[in-house]
Amino acid sequence: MLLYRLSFVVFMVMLLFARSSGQGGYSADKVVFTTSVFDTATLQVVAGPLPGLVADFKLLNVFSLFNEMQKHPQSDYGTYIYEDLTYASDLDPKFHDVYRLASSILAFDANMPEEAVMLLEKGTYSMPSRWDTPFLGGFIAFEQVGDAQKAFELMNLAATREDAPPFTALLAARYLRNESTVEETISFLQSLVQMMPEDYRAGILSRIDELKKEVK
Amino acid sequence: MKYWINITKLTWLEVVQGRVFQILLASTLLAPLFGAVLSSLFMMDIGKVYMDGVMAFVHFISMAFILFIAASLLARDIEQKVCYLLVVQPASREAYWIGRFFGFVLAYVLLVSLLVIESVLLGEFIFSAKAAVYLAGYSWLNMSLLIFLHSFQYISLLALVFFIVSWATGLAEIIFFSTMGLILSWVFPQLLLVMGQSQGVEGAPVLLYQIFEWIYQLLPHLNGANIALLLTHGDERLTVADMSLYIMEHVGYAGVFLGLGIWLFRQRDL
Repeated sequence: MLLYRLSFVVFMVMLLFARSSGQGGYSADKVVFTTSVFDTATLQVVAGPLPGLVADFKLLNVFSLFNEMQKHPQSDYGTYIYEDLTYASDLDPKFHDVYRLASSILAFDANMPEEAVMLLEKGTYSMPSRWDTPFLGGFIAFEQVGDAQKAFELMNLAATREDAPPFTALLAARYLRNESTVEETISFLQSLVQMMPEDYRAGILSRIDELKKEVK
Repeated sequence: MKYWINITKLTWLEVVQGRVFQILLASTLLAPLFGAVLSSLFMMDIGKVYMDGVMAFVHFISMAFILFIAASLLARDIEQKVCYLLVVQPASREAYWIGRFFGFVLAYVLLVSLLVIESVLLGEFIFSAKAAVYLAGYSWLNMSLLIFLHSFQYISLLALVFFIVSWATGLAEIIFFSTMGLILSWVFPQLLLVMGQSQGVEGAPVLLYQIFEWIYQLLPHLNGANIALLLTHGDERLTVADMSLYIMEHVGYAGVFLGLGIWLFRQRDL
């Protein structure tokens, strides 16, 4: 009986030791994110009746990639972030968090505004009741990409959405007539910062700082 | 006529007293907890993420119920000749078949009801102080509808298992074909969708696509995902007519495959 108990303890110690120090298992500092191995079509097949949940996991991967990107700013993690946001929007086209991250970390931190506009444009058509998605798309197209035609198209759509607040049309018109001031852009970016959790504000805040220097 | 009711009661007791079922009952507690943990990692749409987490558990529990409880018990009936004891005059084979089916359905309803109660209670508790903008489509009604409708598609799969049992020889065959049915039902809708999309059609021969479509018509359609996506986002385009058609499809499939199963089971030399 003693032999059995001793063997059990030995095996338990072996297991715990192997798991804590071996190379085969998971450890938090080893695997923090994945880059995609599937294309969207394969991912849709694998997700089966759970596309929403797989989209959630894709977004969790974006959070991990974003943390890595902050540690290594020169890396191309932005491309992976764009890929994962695209997958998530394919699987669950109404997932609002996707477009929120596209309009913040993808546009400002990853410095991929054109890709952000593409995603926001996609969200514009998959969520016909929301005004903020096309508005943000229009704002980034104008401010970051310099594509006035795309900005007009998206802001125009935003202004005609049912729940669009009155300032939408006014702000859109001023932007598109090139009458907007840098202060107005700063004010809009500050309102965008308020909508984001603290960890995801860095990119927008640095853009605000740049604009403030321009004013001075 | 009353024999099928007796077999329903017997099945209910057999299932409810089984250890696997009791573990599944206890594991329903994990569904809302998993949803809550997952949603806590997100900024917006946390109600939607909570519902996604619960929904994943609906699939897990339903699959476990069908494969490890229903299929295993029916396989035991065949292999250990338990059905000899139940199918004796004046009880007919139909009474056995229908009684078993409704017994499983009753036990499954108990599981699903518990899931609804736990998920709604925890959801109401954690979201009570949250602004509506964070909740996406979450409400106690949408949560209940989501679990009810999502689990309803598994009634079709249960009927498919009964159909398989009507001709399969034992546990190995029953589990193998039931699992195949489940996997194919899982991937086929998305596979056909992908093949039907522009990038898929160019790569896939039309004949192959048609063959897949025919096979798909024989399988239960796990088509709750579309309804789930609408419910989790609180989309108002989901109408009562849509939900009724969805329920009707699964009741129809269950009826057809249960009927085919009875027909084959009557021919079978026990």
